[in-house]
Amino acid sequence: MAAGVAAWLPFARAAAIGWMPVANLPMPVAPAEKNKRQDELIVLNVSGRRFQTWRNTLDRYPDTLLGSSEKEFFYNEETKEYFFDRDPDVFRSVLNFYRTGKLHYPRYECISSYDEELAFFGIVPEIIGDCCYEEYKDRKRENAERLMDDQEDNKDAKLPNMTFRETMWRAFENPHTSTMALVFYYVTGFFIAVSVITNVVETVPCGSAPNQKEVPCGERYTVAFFCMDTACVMIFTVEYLMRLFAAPSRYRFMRSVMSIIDVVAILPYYIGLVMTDNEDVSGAFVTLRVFRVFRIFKFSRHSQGLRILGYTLKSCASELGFLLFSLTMAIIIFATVMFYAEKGSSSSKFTSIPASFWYTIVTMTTLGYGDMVPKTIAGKIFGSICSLSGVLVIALPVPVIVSNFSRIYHQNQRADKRRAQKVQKARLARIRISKTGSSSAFLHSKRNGLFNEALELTQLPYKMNLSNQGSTEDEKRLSKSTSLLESQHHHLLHCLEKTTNHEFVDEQYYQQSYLEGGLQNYPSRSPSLSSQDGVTGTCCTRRTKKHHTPLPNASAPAHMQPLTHTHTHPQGLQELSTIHIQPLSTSRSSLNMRVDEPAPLNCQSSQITTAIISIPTPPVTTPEGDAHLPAGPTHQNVVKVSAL
Amino acid sequence: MLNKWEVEGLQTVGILLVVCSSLKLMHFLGLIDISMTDSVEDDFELSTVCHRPESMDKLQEQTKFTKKELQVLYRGFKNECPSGVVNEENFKNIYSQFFPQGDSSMYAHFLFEAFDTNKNGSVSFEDFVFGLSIILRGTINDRLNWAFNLYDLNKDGCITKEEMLDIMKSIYDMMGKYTYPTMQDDAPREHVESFFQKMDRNKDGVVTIDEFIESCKKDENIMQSMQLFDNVI
Repeated sequence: MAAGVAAWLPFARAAAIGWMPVANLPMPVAPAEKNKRQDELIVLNVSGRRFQTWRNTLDRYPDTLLGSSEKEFFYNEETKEYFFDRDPDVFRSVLNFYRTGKLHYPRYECISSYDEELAFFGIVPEIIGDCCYEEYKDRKRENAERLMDDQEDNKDAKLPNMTFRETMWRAFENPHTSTMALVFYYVTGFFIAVSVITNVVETVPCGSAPNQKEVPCGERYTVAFFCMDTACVMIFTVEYLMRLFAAPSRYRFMRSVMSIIDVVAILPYYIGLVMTDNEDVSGAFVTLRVFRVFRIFKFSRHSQGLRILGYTLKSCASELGFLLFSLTMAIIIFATVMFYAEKGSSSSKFTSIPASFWYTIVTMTTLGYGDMVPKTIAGKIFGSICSLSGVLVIALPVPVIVSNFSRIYHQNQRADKRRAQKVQKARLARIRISKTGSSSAFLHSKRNGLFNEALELTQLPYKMNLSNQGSTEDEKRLSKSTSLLESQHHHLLHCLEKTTNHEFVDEQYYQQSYLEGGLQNYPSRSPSLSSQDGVTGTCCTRRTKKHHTPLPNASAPAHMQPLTHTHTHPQGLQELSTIHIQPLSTSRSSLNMRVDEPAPLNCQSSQITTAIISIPTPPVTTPEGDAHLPAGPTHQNVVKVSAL
Repeated sequence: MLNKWEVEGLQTVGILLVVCSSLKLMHFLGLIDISMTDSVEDDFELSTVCHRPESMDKLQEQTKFTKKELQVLYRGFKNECPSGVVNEENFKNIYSQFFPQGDSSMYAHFLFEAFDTNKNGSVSFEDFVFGLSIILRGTINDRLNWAFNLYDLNKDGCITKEEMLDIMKSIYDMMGKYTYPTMQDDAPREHVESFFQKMDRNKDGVVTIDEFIESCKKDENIMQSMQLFDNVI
């Protein structure tokens, strides 16, 4: 139940008056308010700063520290206040959560200290309101990345026992690790530069013999250039092979972008070697030489900035796509308009719509070459509109790309988008779970209530046989474990069930009974399990299906012993083969209560064992006779309890 | 080849376009104002109405709550509705938090109608407290009267089968889908039938206030459940 509206519970209960005249069944008994105390102010002293609030305010969230009996650990008898040795500034947010139901994250607060305080007070950070949640998540992500960065920096320390291959790979990836690596790094860089310059200079016309047209240097000094090319390619090949050898996963290395660039850079040379003096393909060969320019991309290994630029373009793919799309649309529109506007004028260069494309592009990007100009008035009007809109269309997505680049540059290439998606899913899942927790809390305590009432029935004749007198007290404690608010809410839902003569069940159970389409009778189960002594391990369960038998992992505290005797109860009123129902951890008091149990339970959060209560009663006709049995007359012999 | 008229036509169209877009641009920039319809923006600055209830003494006289109880009630009320009044949307929201599994909006709507005695579309603290006072501190007759008022949707003094069916459906809706046994579609109708069996003495198809009170008083279950409300606050 959303505790923010806990104050309206009396109203909701009063509104139930509308169900009363309609219901055919008697209503369950309302929970009595033992020691009904007036609402009182309690003082919370947090490191000297005193906060005061109503007790009711804190009770709204019984699964947190302040809302449960856990705060009693901090009670100071002399000053009659609760003292917490924590940060008072963050405590303001925590207390406001109780008051308003919304948790806010103050921006000036350090994220890790905030997290610690929340963890201390038992508040799940997912509850942070939508107004502050984005900020919180961003800060948290930044912090996590910063921590990760620190860890990565520490990894540079040389690990002992690295194989030669691993050393080599590390040398390639981080040139700062050793001198050899640094030398290698600079040598390859130098040769890339040499190769690129060679390619460029090759085409410059340098000096000509008289009466001959200018020849590019490449044709004049063929041998020299060929030697330089060979040297560079050899270096590149050696480097590529060494990287291939050192790579931890060769297949992955071969698929990576950098290795493809390497291959593309050196392949034309080899192809050229193979295919010289073959006239037919020499044209193609010349084209292949274009690919030599890709060697310049090898610089991206040497430059962090280039890598970031590439990553930015990749991450701004949607903005770039939008830019392209809108430009295309505009180009087509304006080209069409210009074509038809200029159709009338003589000697117009706008011979077709595709021909107008060129004009439109040049105009929209404000280049304005001037090789095509409109001559009619309409053409000029549309042309001016075209150039104005071009400026706008291009100017819009560019700042987005720029800001992206700057962000990535500052964060240094982290794949945060991927992480954000996973966390968002997890957050939604957790919120969903906590919401369904409220409905399952009712179902669960209903079974608890059933169990308690049943137990009281069977306990009465056998009080004498109980060796452990503490067991009844345990029962009472069990029933008190849910707060008053919760028990009132559950009573309300119980009344609704009575009114409509249907029961709340959870989804799993509903699916199953829907499939089976009916009830099954279960024979009385042997209570062999209940005779197990001691702890059988953890009480943590897995979700088991219904109809199932006694779980082997239920612990059997001492007060379950008497159950064995019920088997021979002459009236066979109820036969309980359940072992133990543990309340959901929504009530922290129960967790604390269990501390003094003889069988220590080491489960943390909501674990519930399944329980099967088989009630082989004869079909009862009048409801009065079964006033104790909460199961109405429409139920047959089995009340199935589901594992929630 | 375009003839002269087509060229002229195109030029006209072009000029018209330019004129229209420049007007739009100026309107956008705020230089001129072309509004064909009344702008509805003013409606959104809805009154941040702040309603203050009457003094506590007066409320204490008019209802049967003690001062402390009124204080607790008001604190809860004001927390959820800082403006001092609840509108139907809010009301439904609050009520639905108690019934996470089902859809309580219809029943909340009927409740709202019942609480909003002066039919002004909002429930103030006085309405709230008056209603609660009748339910929680009133006599059996008062309570039954209030319940009858809740059921009688058109306030004509008698409950017809259609009204009862609406109420019943809204109650069953609150249960939601996952129930045991599975909710049948005609469950509300059957329930209405049995209700009328019990309540409608003269079998005329409607239940009047007297029939209602009489039949309720005769039913032990109902009498007993009416006692439940004594201890709510």
